[in-house]
Amino acid sequence: MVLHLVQRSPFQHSALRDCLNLCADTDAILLMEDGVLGVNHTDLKTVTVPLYALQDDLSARGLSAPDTIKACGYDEFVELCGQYKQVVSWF
Amino acid sequence: MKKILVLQKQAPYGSSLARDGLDYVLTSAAYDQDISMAFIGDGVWQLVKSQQPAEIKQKSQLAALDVLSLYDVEKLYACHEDLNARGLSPQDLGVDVTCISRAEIKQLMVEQDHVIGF
Amino acid sequence: MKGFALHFCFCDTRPMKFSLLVLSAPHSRQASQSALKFAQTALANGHELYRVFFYQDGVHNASQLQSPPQDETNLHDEWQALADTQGTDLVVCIAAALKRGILDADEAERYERPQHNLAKPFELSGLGQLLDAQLQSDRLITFA
Repeated sequence: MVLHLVQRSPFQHSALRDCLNLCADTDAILLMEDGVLGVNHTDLKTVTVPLYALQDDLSARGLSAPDTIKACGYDEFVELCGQYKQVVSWF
Repeated sequence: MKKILVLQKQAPYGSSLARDGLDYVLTSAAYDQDISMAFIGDGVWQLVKSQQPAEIKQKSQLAALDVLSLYDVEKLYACHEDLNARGLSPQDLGVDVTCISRAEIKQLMVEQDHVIGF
Repeated sequence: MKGFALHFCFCDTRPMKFSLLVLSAPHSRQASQSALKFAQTALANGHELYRVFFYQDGVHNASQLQSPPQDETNLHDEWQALADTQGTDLVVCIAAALKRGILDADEAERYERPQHNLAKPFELSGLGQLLDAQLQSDRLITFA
């Protein structure tokens, strides 16, 4: 029911960890801005909720999403915000 | 009246997020909304007793939190895993909060009309 | 791919009413640019943008005096264009703005400051407008 927007790098900031602590089975996580630096982070290896990363932010940083994470554009970002009851940003 | 949960995620004084988040809570309470506050992550540092921020020329977050009861904001929660991780116990706190688990905070989020974090 | 088959859709496929909360200064953090792109995309896709509320360092988006290099984005002008073409409501937290030296003509006169740097379509107002945005919108998205 919650779409979590992770906006900071997990190598520098606790945003991803704090998000995962409160992420429920019915939630989803979207990595954006420096948050996309976490696409291959070990903390995400055992996560079972849907994972997304903003393509613009991946491309800007020379990264690509692994198979476990869906790269998406802003169109899908906007639609995802409508699909979940709450949208919570982590920074 | 809507149920609004405000997540307080930051420690006071190093940045203004703690104070600005509290200002939003007070505004929402003044407009008769049903507010809950959850102190998570470094947000739990806002609750520590004996804060003396005059030393760094700032206003006390603790004193500001004391005002909450005047606005009937009484649903204050602190994440006990985050307190433990920081070596804090309920005895260290200067605010009347209910210490709850992460699982309980997740449940609290489900029950809200709106969730916002600072 | 794991998770996607289990993706629950608590869908509202009707147009959504969004509000945005911007907390960081333009150029210092990416947030303002991300918020702008979200706003443009939402509007292009038929959704409504109820309000963009600037709080904390986000108030710097409202300064008319921003003068980035020619090959960089001027966030003030981009937000203004959104207001001019789409009628987007741009509200700046007055307390956060005053502390940071973002003043309209009235406040500059009140505080006896030599200049002002905020004008329409940006409006100074209180946190009640952020609460209103949260209550009136389907979703409030924070860009920090």
